[in-house]
Amino acid sequence: MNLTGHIVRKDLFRLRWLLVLWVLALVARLTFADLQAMAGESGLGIFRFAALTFGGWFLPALGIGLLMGLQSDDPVSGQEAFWITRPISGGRLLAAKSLTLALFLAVPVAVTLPWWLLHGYGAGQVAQAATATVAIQASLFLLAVPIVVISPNGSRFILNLAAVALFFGLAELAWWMMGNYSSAVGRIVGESRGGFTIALWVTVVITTTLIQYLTRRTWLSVAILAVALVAVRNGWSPNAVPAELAPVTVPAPVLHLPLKAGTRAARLGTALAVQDVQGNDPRGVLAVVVESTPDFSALYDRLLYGPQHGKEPREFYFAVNRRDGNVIQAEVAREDASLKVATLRYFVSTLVFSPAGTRRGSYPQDRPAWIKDAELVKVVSNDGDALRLALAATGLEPAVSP
Amino acid sequence: MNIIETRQLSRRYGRTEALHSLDLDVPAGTIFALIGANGAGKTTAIKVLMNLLAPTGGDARVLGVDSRRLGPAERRQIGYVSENQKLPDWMTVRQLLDYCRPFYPTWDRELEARLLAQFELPADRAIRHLSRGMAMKTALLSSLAYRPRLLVLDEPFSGLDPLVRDEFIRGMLEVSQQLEWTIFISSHDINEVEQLADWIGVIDAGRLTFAEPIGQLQGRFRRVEVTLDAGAPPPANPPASWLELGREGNLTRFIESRYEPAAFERSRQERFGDAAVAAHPMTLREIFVVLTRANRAQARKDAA
Repeated sequence: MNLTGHIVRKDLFRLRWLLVLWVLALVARLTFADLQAMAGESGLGIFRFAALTFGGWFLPALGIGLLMGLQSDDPVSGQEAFWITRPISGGRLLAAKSLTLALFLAVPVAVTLPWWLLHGYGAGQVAQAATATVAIQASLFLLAVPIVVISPNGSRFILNLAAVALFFGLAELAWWMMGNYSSAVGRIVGESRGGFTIALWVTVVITTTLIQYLTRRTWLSVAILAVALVAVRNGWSPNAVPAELAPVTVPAPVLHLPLKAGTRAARLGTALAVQDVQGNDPRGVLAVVVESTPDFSALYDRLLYGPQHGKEPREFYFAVNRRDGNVIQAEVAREDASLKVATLRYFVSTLVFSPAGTRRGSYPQDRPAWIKDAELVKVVSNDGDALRLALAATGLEPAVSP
Repeated sequence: MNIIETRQLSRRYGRTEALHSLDLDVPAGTIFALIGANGAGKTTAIKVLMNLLAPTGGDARVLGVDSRRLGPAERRQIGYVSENQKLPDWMTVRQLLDYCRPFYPTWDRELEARLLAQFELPADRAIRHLSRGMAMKTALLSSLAYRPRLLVLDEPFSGLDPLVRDEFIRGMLEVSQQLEWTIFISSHDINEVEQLADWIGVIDAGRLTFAEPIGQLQGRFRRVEVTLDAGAPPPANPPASWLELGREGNLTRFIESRYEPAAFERSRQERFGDAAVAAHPMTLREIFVVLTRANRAQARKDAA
């Protein structure tokens, strides 16, 4: 353990300036997001842009840089590494690097903890947000690990990364040229494929890491990685669904949500809350319904930003589903329609790692919805002829007299 | 006892055979120089011995252990310095020594301090800012301070200017007097190792031409010059041990590769009678050149 710790200390010392930069970037992102939240709708777009830049590009790039920096001092590919001829076993080196990586995972949590507390998070919410933060960072590392372990140095890593990107680009182009490009698949197919892809990638991460650290047979790791990339491309792609595969409708979990300000209901990690009931209308009740979900903002920043530019979100929004049998399609659920979408775009709350219910300021994406004798559903995909519903709230009865 | 032993050791890169059935014994306590031209297979041999590469055939044993099984216990007794090795060049010399020290229970801080002074290394300068010679000395220091039983040097003089090279060799010789060890050194320049080595092996196109003590090698090679009468016929049926037989005017020259004074004197009497015969000792470089030519000629003959 002493020698493992000795290697960890060496790596932390070497990467100390990159770590400082990482912490500063994390703080900057949170600060920009907070400034944007305080500024509200009329706030300067520069804060939003800065938060997006830090969250979407700079921080992931720094994270990958840290991972590569960690590995490049003791590469497990090639024959020129210093450690190979020293009394350091592959197992010990792997233990040391894993430990350092675990410390890296804790950094964003440690940096963000004061923000969570500042925004009134309880212990459970802190735990949830911390788990999500670690999961996002770990996902980023997991994506890069197989390429890092087969790269003897930083420049080869970039080259290998470019090769993978080129592979996916060409595969996509070939698919498109063959005329196979179509709209998204149903949720079940997508989820199962996503599950397969994740399981496959985790297996590849573990396998290539063990091979490289214990045997350094890079050709074997490269072969495994190549096969996995092809499988991932075909497994992940929503375009590869045969036409005869009909979308599967799965009964959505149902929530009971009385249409009264302050009521809440939660299921499967997603909570709905009636924030406000604003008055009467012959067609129903004007209500603001908000959703809070586990915070995956770092990963989904781009999705969250989509609606701001006037584009209809393809998924992750609310629609109103009337009980009279008229299923409201996603296309209908726009501001100009008679029944408005009760959307919540939780840009502010997610960026400051605050639950939606405790968001700061007002954001224009909170839409009022006309609801009467209706169900509230979350549309997770639109397959053209059917909506896939992940969450439904029934019993949306007016809490105020019409 | 042999510190290094290989039997039928082979290594292929695709269709290229970098090592061909190498049988090599390096006795303990010797300074063994493996000599060969660039691309002869020296570095491949060392990489296989150090388990940086897996052999495609045969076996290699280092310190009595299969080279493929070399672990931390053996590495603690082996020093390795190579022009191909990538040092953590962001470290200073002192940081490198501080990093290496805990891995070696036998690390001798007194020897470290003595070598640091002897090699005149700037302890607080980053390795990336050192000259190539100093970087090699740093690598050497980090491989000597734990008094390894075996020191493996792969082309340690490559790229060093003559002055630095001489300093390096002098340093090695001085340290050699302080330590009991075996040194296995590869080089393409025979002059460099001549001052150091007491055993020599020559490798050419992946094949070991010979390996023996330098004194013995130099003892059995002579450049022979025979002054014959004008019109006298060239020596008939020259033995296989005569290499590069040639004649210029009345002077016949050849290399005797199995020189033994008494036997040579008898042969001289039988073949040349009273002709003037001079047998000159040869430098290691001359022997190396002759043997390499002879081997390549033999290989061409075999291929034809």
